[in-house]
Order: sequence, then C-alpha cells, then structure tokens
Amino acid sequence: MLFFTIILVVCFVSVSNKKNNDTIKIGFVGPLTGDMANWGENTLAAVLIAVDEINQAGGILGKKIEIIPEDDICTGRNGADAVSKLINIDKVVAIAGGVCSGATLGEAPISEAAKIPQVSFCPTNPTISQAGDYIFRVVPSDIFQSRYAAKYLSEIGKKNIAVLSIKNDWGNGLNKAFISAFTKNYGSVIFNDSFDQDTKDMRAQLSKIKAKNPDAVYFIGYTDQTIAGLKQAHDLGIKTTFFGADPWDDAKIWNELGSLGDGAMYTVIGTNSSDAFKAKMKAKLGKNDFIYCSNYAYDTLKILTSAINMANSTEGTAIKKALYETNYTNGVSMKEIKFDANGDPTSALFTVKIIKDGKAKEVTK
Amino acid sequence: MELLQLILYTVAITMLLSLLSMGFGFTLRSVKFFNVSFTGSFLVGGYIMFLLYRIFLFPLIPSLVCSLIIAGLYLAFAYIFIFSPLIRRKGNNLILVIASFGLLIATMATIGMLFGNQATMIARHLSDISTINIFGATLNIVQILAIIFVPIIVCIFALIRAKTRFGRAVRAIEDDREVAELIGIPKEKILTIIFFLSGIVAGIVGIIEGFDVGLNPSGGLVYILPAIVASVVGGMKSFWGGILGAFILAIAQKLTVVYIGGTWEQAVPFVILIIILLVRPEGILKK
Repeated sequence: MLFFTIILVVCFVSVSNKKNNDTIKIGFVGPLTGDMANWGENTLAAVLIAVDEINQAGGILGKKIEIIPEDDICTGRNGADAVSKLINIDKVVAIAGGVCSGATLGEAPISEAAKIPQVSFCPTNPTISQAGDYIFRVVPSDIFQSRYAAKYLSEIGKKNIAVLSIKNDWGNGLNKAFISAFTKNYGSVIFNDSFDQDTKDMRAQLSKIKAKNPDAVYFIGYTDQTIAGLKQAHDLGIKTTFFGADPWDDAKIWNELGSLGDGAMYTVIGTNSSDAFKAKMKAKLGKNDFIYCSNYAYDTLKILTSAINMANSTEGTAIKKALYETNYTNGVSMKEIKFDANGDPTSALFTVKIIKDGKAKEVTK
Repeated sequence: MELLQLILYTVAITMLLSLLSMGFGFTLRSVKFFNVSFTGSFLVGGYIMFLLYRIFLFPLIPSLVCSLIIAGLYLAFAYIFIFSPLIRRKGNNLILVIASFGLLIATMATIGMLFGNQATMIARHLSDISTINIFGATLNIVQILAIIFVPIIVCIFALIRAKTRFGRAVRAIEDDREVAELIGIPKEKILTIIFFLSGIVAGIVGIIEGFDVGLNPSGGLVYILPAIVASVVGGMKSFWGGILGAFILAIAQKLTVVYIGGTWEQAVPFVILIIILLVRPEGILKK
C-alpha cells in the first residue's frame, strides 16, 4: 500500500514538474512578516502588477512569468534560507529582492555562488556594491544619500551638526558616510553618538545634544525610535532642525507625532511615478499606501524580463551579461536606469521632504 | 542645567526599574525561580490598556483598572496552570525557568500577531503628554506621575508585607515553603495571590512605558534582563534588594551614556552582573 502511494506521488510530482516548465520562474524575496511587513507586501504587489502586464502582452520568450514569493523577515539568516529554497527547490532563473540591507547581504552570497542574478530594489547599505558580480540594485547606496543630505544641510546654512544614529548595519553605514562627507566639505560634526536598536529612550543623548546647541541634528533611525526620539526632543525643548533618512517616509511616524514633528526634514529616494501606476497599486493593495520602493520593484521586474529577452536565454550568466548592458527608460522609479561595474545604478534621484501640519511635503527647490 | 536634567531623568528611570525589580522579586523570593514570564505581564498590561483606552476609547481610570487586573490574572493563571503543577511534580528550578520562557515567547508571538511588531503608543495623541518645567529642566507628565506614585506603591507593599497577616504568610513562605504549609498557611492560595500582585506591578510599568515611549512585543526580553540583574545585585533574598539594585543599575547606565557614550548603555547590566557575581554573589542586602 505504502509502495503504491510512493509511486503515485512520484508520478504526480514529475507530471506537475513537466507542467511547470511552461513558465519562467522568478523568485521574490522580502519581509512578508515582521516590522517591515508593510514594505514587503507593498513591493510584492508592485512586482505582481508588472508580471500581469508582461503576461498579458504574451510573456517572455513565449512563456508566462511566474513569481514565487518567499519571506526573509528582514534578517540575513532567513533571507539566506529563503533564497536557498528559491534557487535549489523552485529553480528560479532570477531573484527580485530583498528590501532590507541586512537581509540582502545574507542573500547575496547564495545567489552569487549559484550564479543566479539578483536585482534588489530597496536596500541602501554601501557594502552591497561589493556583494558580487551577479548582484544588482536599482536604488543608490547610502553613500549617495548621506552625501546628498550633507550637501543639502550645508546649502540651508547648517554648519555645526550633531549626529545621532541607530546601531546596526544601516545606521553605521549612513553615519560613516555622512560624517566623512560633511567634515570634508561643509562644516563640523560637534556631536556623534548612537543608540541600541531595541531602546527607545534617547533622553541622555538628547540632553547632551541640547547642551551643544547644534544647527541641526542628523537623526538616523527607523519608525519606532524616531517617534520616541522626536517626542523626547520636543519635551526637552530642543528647537533645532531634525534631519533624517528614507525610513522617515513612513506616514505612521507623523500621524503619531501630530504637530510635534513639524519642521523635521528627510531625504528620500525620488520616483518618476505616474497616475496610472498609482491607480494600479491602489487597486491591488486595496488602500492608498505609497512606498517608493514599490516603483523600483516594478521597474526591477521589467528590467529582469527585458534582460531575459535580450539574452534570449534563461541561463544565469547570460541574463547577468544582458543586465550589464541594460538601458531601461521611462520607468516609474527613474527616467533612465543603467548599471555600473558594481551592479549599482549609474544615477540617483533624491528629494527632500519637510513635515508641515503633520504631513510630509516635498521641498521645492 | 544639563546636570539637573540628567538627574531628573535618572530618577524617573530608577523609579520604573525599582518597581519592575520589586515585582520580579515577589515570585523570586517565594517560589525561588527567575520567573521570566514576568515581563509577559508587562506586555499584557500595556497592550490591554492600549486596546481599551486607545482603540475602544474607554475612559482612563476604568481602562487602567481593567488592564491591571488582566495583567495580574495572566500571572495568576500561569501559576495555577503551569508552575504549580510543575512544582507538584517535583520540577526543579530549571524546569520552571524554561516553562516561564516558553510562556513569555508564546505571549510575545501572540501579541506580535495581534498588534504588529512596530511600536504601539497608548497615548491617544502624543501632544496629550505635556511637559512640566522644573527649574529649567523638563519632565513629561508620565515621568512625574511615576516619580510620585512609585514610592507610594513600594511603601504600600512594604507595609502589607510587614504589618498584615497576608504579609506574615508571605514572609513565612519565603522562609520555608514546606514548613509554612505544615503550620497551616494556605500555600496555594497565598502563592496565587503573590503571582497576581506580581503581575499587577509588571502591568503598571508596562502601561507607563506604553505612554512614555511605546511598546513592542520584543520589549518582553529587553526589560527582563535589568530586572534580573537588579535583583541579583541588590540581594535576591531581600525585599529592598531589588530596589537598591535598580538604583545602582539605572545610575550606572545613565552615567555611562553621559560620560562614555550611548553605544555602551546596554553593556552596563552585564558588566555589573559579572562584577557582583565575582565579588559578592549573594547580593548587597542580606535580608
């Protein structure tokens, strides 16, 4: 009886495998659970929108595209497991993802060793540039975001800056890049301290900052720490400008703070969004939730599939070669995307937003 | 000015940590194990308060009372259904600690699923939490209430322990559980009440934290370590030990941030723990 069942199962599996050879499988890896789940859900929706459009136009190389999503919970360890599964079990030809820098740094070695191209659309840690020949990203590294922030702060007349950053890969990357750029060209950093990832009490650090009286505070943190930190800064009566990085694009921060957050500014990676794309995202998600990474995720899928088309093959090395020769235009993220020798985009688009009446508005130059 | 501000902050943090250590000490002294699920009550109290006060918009005092009762019941039920059976089956302390870890992890995961992993703020509007100016330094209303009420709560518990029949029964059980039962003290009933009170104390701190900076499910693990270290440093057998330990720990942490840097704040409990275990393992206060 058991023997029969085993034979049946084996037959069934090989039959379904045969069916699966009619699609081109691309893996998606991102935080589908955990505190970045919103970003994972959002970017997956964008990827699926791109795939729908491609399949409706006939697919690639005569076959439909199939997305296999896996959860990396925004950590390197889970990311490595997820990507291993996608490559070894699902036999994907390429991977779109991840979202978090830490997760992507865990995933990259696996993809690189397996010679499967991985294009990510959100992680900004500088070390990803050296992650491998098969590793690409469409968003610029934090070195550029910090440099842009340093330049902007100098342009609005801030000469003495205090830096307060979260202690993790992302925070350390931004911290080093910012201090290096600012002290080299624009002014001085009069205070530099950090806080643990789990803590939300920054009062001691903020008291010291208040005593130093800086022109601005470059505050590098995610949602939770920012809400707590800005409230504590307000309680202390610190009147100076607080300047942050792209996680401040999370509307939850400003909804919680209300008018307490007014005057805060942050850099964010810009997009070339269209109303059509926004409408499709709203339809797919069922809500009006804008995260810039989704635009980049959509373009990533389009870039990957056009590279497969250009290479006329689903073989990893061929796709990789085609990616280096990609010249993608009129995307919803940037007007033009090309990759440099490190797999990073050759250009970057940043904007600065400021909080007025509890809402983020782009600062017009 | 900066000095006064730092002193006020340290006092506020010390109050919270004292309360946490005191509540942790209840179950440490009576059942003689590190009840890690103590911070489960911390989370339950805070999150139920969030649910009642901010989501259902119930008024403040009823929500507070309800949340604290539920936080207390959480630990009371944990005792009745988990720890008491294990003790009856001659489970040793290691088994009890592991069981309490299991309960804590399950609680954290459930709360994470229900409320999400991002910070949950109890205050309906952060601007509700006003600040008060004290000779140029500021404290917010939550910290001021903590500084005023924590000493009162500690004194109430100290009085209960010293002057009431219940307090005598508690001290008897802490001294020797078996003998206490032999002389007619209703051990199970008293222990359940002790767990209930321990849960309420944790719940109070959880609610304060939820108003002040917001709650995360992972807060369960982050807070248990200072509570354990403070109890060990101050003296595990003494009622005032946990409170003394909390003072030492909070002051050391804040001084470290000021003079060495915020990067080292989380290392301080570990360093102090190692020093105390090397120099005076039974803690500072004996009884």
